[in-house]
Amino acid sequence: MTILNVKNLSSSYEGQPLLKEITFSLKKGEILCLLGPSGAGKTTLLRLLAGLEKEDGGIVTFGNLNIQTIPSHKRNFGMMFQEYALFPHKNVFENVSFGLEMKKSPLKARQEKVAEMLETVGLKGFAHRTIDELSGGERQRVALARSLAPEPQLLLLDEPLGSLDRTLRDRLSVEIRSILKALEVTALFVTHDQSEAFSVADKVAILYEGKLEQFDSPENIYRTPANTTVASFLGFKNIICGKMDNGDLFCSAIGPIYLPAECNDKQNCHLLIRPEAARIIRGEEIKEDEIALEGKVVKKQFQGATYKLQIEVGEQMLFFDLPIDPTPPGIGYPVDLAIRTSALIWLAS
Amino acid sequence: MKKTGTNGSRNGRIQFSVNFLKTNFSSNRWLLLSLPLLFLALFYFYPLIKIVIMSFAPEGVWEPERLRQLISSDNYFRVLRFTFWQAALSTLFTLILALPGAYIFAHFNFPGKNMLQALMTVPFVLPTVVTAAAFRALLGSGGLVNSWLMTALDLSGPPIRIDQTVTFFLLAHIFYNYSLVLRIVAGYWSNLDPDIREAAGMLGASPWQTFKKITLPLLIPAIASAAVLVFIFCFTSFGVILILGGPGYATIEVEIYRQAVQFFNLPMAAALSLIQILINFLLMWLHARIGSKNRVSFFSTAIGGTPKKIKGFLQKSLLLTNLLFMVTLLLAPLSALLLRSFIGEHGFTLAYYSSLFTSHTRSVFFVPPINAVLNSIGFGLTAMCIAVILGLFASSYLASAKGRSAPFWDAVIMLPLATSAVTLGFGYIITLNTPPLNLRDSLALVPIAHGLVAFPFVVRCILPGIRQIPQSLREAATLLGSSPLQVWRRVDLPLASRPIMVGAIFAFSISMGEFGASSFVTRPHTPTMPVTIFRFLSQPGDLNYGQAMAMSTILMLVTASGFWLLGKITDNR
Repeated sequence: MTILNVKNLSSSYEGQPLLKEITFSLKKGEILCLLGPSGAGKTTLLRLLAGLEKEDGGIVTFGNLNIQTIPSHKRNFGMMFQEYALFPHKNVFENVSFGLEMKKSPLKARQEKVAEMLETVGLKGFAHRTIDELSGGERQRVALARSLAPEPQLLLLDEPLGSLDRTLRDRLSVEIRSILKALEVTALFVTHDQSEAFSVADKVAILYEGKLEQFDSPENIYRTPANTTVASFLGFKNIICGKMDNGDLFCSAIGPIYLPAECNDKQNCHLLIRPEAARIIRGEEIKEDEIALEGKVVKKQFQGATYKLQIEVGEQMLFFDLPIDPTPPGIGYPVDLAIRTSALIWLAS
Repeated sequence: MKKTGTNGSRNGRIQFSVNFLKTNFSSNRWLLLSLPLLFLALFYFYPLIKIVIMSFAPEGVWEPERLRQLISSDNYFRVLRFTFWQAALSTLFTLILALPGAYIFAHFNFPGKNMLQALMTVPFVLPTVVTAAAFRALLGSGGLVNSWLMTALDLSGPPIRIDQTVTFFLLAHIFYNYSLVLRIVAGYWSNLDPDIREAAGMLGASPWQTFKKITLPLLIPAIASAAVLVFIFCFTSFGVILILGGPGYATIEVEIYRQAVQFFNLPMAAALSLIQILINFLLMWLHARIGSKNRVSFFSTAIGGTPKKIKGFLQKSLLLTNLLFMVTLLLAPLSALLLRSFIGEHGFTLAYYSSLFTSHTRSVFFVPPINAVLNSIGFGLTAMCIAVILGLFASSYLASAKGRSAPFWDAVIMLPLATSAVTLGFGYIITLNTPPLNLRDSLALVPIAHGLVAFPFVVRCILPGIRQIPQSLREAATLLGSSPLQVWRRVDLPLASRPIMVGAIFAFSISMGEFGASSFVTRPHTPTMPVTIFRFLSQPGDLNYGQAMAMSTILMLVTASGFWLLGKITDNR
């Protein structure tokens, strides 16, 4: 059941557009990650939905109700801030119970709910700690408990793991997902970290310079990036520009290859080769669903489970992750590669 | 093996140099502190102890009974009650008027904001005597508003009669402290994380609930800190009450002055000083506690955050009323002062200024009054040297001191801040006019008193500057072959030159405006400007009044240019 509908939402600051005609919808209980580099408009979009900023145009409905005229404190949305914004003059209990207090829920009910929330986030027994006594990870949990306690219809999270270190982030992102799923909360999660987005989200929205570039499941986004912007944001390096000759000959810096012509603009094609799609061949024939490339190893970097190889093919550098067995040839040696055609993606420019 | 050997000896040498620096410095460090301490002992603790002794033993014999009688007298109580009451009232009014202004300054951007902010520092640095004169010029019976109203409405007497009433000096207190409250509270308010307010909103709190439950509780430390400070200033208010209140009103300070200078009742003055010292210490302690716990600072009150543009009718009208109030409060008295110094009974005149240069036989002075300007500048420069040298020594010690001793000595150095200038002046006349330390006829007494008053301020300017210098710079200089003294001269001194200059200008301005201690220790032949203004104002006649206005204008310009210079120095950063 679709619950959040955003249509042609635009916003600007002092004449500079921040969001351009954003349109998407979200089902009840889904977690959407807004992913993009800093300055892409993710936080602006979140704050518009929260009612903390005013849009220039567009329509936002929540449960078939237009919410644009409702002030933020009456929307019953929860928000988790980047630096948590815990009230420094209140202890953990008072922070978590604040939203319930605003709903005028009686003390007894509040105590029960706070205890339940603290247990959910793994902070049982922390109720009477002051904020100063908490570590970064604990503060993050209190902030989550506080925003969840009033049972918001929509939870907005603004880079909630941004200020934590890598290991803690990896653990907490999985934890947040399981908590949100257990409570069946509809949520929007802002991040600039793609691994965080992929591990938390049901849907990912890629924002770039105020534009919604792609809206899909994490798998689809990774498998088939919609265009060069999304692909390069996701960190794909093997993007090859070229044009189609005679229908199915792709001519580019890596040399001519026969490929099915699924590229729209024949004179200006962009081909993406995913880095995990290559295998080294040593004289044997390639399979039917593969293409062959030959090049020279320029750099070789050991990364544990894989080697990262920089290979010069024609006049272009390509990057591949290759298994450690059999050991790939060393720097300066020629190499023959077989690439699965399923890992070749035509990008819109 | 050989390699490790050389390495070891090099490390040893570094270790030795660092140790040498430390040990040598720690013994020298005491020398740094000894000069300021000697100064404090002679010119601060000695007079204060004498006051305490005189309270208990007025005639040199232990007579606590006398003190008890004095303290339980009606007069004593009346003075005490009045002092509290007027300070509380002034604080309350100032807070009520200044908080809306603080809100505006913390949250909005508007044209002219920077200029207004600069303008608001003016009352803070204005000598009390000038403020009093300015209010007389504006609202006194011979002031501008009254004379305009009399001409306009054809009245025979002044319609506004607040001369010698509480209203008059309450207004002056508000003028004085309005910008102080605004700066402290606005600075703190603008640095509150806006996310916290938004978080409350997202949890369902309406704007009013957010203010009541989140913003106000978080602002309490700043408001309390400002309130205590205003209370202290009004509690020790002297010049303003002496000049605007008239004989009917006496705060403790004014009463000490009257008992000592007019009635020569030294035991009573001592008993009053004793209570003043105690209450002041208590208030300063309270202020320090609030400040240290919540990081509210009176010395750094920069307005940060990201102010918004003003929107909507409500915000606009709030802004306009407040701006109008601020501009009127700040500018009206000062412009009245300026105008009144040029306007005599028959219109525009330069007579008041020119008569400052002549010595009248009938006047209260034996020398041309303009000499007071030179006296003040001379005293100011001497006081500045004293305060800066002491401040530099004390700061250098405090910056390098470690462990528990540093906060202790810091507190000792700050003590003069907690003592009113009048008690200090009174202490001087009962100690420094008699052997063993007889400075009765010495010109040094005024600069010493001013230097002492300015000393804590100078330390507060210089110390943060020296503390900011990374220790590694000193260590680098040492390893490049500098002796500790050279390190101080070539690293500390140049890097702290700006704060030192700021402290120097501060000290000079404090000295120029100082009135409480000066009223006791100035010699009749060498008065300072504030003392001269006070004498003019206490004499009848239009010429005296006009000369007071003219001299106040000059003093205002001298202090203003000092602070203009200060702004230049700090802006260039």
